[in-house]
Amino acid sequence: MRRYGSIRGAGVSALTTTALMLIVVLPFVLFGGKSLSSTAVIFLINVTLVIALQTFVGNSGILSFGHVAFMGVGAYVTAWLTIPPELKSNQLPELPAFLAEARWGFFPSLLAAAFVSALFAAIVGIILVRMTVNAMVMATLALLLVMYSVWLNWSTLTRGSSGVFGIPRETTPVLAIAVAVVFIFVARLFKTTRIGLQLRASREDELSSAALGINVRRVRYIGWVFSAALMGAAGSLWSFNIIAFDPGQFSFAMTFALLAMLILGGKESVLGAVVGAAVVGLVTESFSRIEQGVSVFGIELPRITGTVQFVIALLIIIALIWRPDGIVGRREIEDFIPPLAAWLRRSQGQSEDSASQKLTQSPEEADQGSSSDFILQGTGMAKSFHGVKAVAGIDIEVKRGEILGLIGPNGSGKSTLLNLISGLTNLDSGQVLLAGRDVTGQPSHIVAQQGLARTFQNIRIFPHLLVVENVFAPPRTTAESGHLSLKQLGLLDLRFTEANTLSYGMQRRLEIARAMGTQPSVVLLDEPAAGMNHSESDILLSDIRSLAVHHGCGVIIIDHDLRLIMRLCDRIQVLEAGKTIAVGTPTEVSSDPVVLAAYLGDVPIEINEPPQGEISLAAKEN
Amino acid sequence: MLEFMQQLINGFSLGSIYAVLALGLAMVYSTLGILNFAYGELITIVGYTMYFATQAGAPFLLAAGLGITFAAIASLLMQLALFRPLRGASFVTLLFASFALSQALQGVFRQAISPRARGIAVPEIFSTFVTIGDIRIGFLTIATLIIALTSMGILAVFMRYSRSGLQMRAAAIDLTTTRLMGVRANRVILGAFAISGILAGIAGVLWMARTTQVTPTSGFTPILIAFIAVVLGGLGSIPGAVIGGYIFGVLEVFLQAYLPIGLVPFQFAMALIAVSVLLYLRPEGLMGKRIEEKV
Repeated sequence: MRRYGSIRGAGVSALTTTALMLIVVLPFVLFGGKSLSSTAVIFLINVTLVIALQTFVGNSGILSFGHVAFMGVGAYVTAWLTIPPELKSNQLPELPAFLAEARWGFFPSLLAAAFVSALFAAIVGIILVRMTVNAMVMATLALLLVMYSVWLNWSTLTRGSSGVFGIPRETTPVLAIAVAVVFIFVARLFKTTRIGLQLRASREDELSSAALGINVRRVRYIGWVFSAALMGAAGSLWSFNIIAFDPGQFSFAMTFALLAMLILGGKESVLGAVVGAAVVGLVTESFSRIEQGVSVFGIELPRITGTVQFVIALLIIIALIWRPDGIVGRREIEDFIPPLAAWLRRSQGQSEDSASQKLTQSPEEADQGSSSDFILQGTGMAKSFHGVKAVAGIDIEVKRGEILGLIGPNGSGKSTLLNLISGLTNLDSGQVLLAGRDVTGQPSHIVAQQGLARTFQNIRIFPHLLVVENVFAPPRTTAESGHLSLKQLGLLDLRFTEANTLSYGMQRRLEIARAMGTQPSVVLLDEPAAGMNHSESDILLSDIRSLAVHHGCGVIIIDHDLRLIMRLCDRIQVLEAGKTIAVGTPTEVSSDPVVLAAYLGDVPIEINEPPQGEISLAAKEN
Repeated sequence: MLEFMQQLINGFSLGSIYAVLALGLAMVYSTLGILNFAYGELITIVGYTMYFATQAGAPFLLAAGLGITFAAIASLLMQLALFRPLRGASFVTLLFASFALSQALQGVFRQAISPRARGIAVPEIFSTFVTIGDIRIGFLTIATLIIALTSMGILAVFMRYSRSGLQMRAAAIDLTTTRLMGVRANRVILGAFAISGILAGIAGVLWMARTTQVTPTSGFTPILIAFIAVVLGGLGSIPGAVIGGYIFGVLEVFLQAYLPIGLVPFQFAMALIAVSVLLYLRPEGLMGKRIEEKV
């Protein structure tokens, strides 16, 4: 799998998180006696449950109320497989024979629980991922309730509300630690894999991740099933500790407790899951002792029951107002230990540098021979919004290495045209050919996967991902192309910065770098220089020129700065009221009387200043 | 056929409670994008108000009026104490915060009142029947239909013809622009929460008249149904919420009436699965629009 080379970093991060967890847990296990040791085991089990939840909720940004259903699947599968047959025949006499006889061990049951849970999630997920994000949250709630009523009523398998008992208790502290450590590693690595990264990108900006080729439904589906598998295994572990349970345990109280741990700790971080489980565990433990009545400084406090849930709820509300992103926020453990972070970055930087040295020349440059063909051809493209013809039959074409400027007054259909080409808006009629292939009517991620990349008028980077993660999220980006793109846009030194902390101009450059990293055959730039001053936009546009030449891709650029458009573009297409009113070289267009009348008022524009200056400079760099 | 008609009327009656419930939830969602989980607790508050009022000797109608008033006040307090400090937070944060509030309130009811159910005395007339032709219908069924339809009618007139209603509809389309036009956002938002609370109050009275008892978790089923109706109708669509409520009400009554005995316990699950199938076919909900973001 192509990746951006920080799997090792993720491993080190997981290792450090594990170390932290062990520092907390080991004193309890070693010196705490039986009661404290079992508290530690409960904590570790909570860690696995919360991490399983985090894998989906944290990475996808979609709240799930339904994961406890998978915990239930894991627990019941474990019950069917491990309760001794003589006990099982009493409780569940109608169980199918192969289950009635089963007497599995710890690890096989854990894996079976994970498998069944994943299978179930795979079926549910087919419906789920089609929905909009908010509807999906509600659907997970429905899932929880459907499964709760199934547990309650399908007594052949579950013995209804009386529950099942007799699961052998196999959770020693060592075993619980082992499973929790595996979970930390798996979750931390998943976050770093390409799928995990794409899932996080979809959390940040669903639309622009699709426009860069990420199949959002697919990555959500994978995240959902994977997370359910972990949840099933965690539920199995949980049942090995609790040994008897009933459907009531897979309802709202559990959902609330797990979500509280996750959100209090910081839902986007694996470390957060561990910290959240610890904090909520501590509060629960101390308050349940208060509930049993304690004396503080000799004063006997009255027994209060049912305070735990209330206190946790209050804590959550306060925490959300005080720290909406949770205690650790989005940070992983290395972000708290600067030397570790620096070391990880250095070593990652080295591996990237060695990777990029393999790159001698851009692969696209080789087939410059076919550059006379149009790489993008749109014919008769039309789109109306509620009767307004935003685009009314436009033809557009661009060659490899060519820069086409798209100008026209506000509302003339420029941005709509780009949206139609990139598949973000559906065409009413017309056709789009990309590198000879018909991409008409394809969703934007498919169009992007065929080699189209774009930027947006209002910047749509992935704000809470690192610069390097922004660039490497799209599926077409390779280690080499991404690195090169960062370098060409001057972002190499900033690559470990969070994207939303970049300056405005740098964010625009990042968006271009993210598009160019996908090695596009056509790139659409929607006002890339908007909001920049003259010198900034001069540099940017000369960079665009050299990128177009270097990658041999076609560029369509919208900008309002005519001075720049005239100097940069090979050809210019002028739109008005959804129609093309002129196409040609800058000189042709600027002297076209129709253009002058419709677009520029009757004032002729000056392109007297020599356009060669920066362009030839840029060409020399290659 | 006769039974079918009878069930249909029952379904519509139950559906109108659900529609009012969903409408209250949708009012806040369409203005602020908040799905208020603690909305269900407004129903519980109605229940406890009615319980204490009737215990103190108040007539049923007065108790109901008090219940609606308290629900509206509680709804406003939720906005002021929870959602306003969290303004600008993400959908997930807001949803979870309201989930936490719902849990906290349940804790309060449990501690301050009792974990056990409290019965609410309802007038005897509620259990009588009216015979129209060959169809026998409960008094409460008809009263529910009338009250729900009237309330929704009044709301529709208010939203369409009053200035405040216009401002709320504008805010639902684009809160920022509405503010830029000089409308005071806080007033519109409080208005949405007040209407939401009143609707919860009306639905709560109808609900309590049916169930005749209140527990700390009484709000659970209502909020769930409101969620389902809102998603089914299309998140963000107010007419969708009403239609979703009716569909779910009719679905529930018919499943109860015609499901084989062995499957009756799965009635709720079946209804949810039916809704899921509808959503598979139309992911944006019945009245929801496929949102095309401006880029």
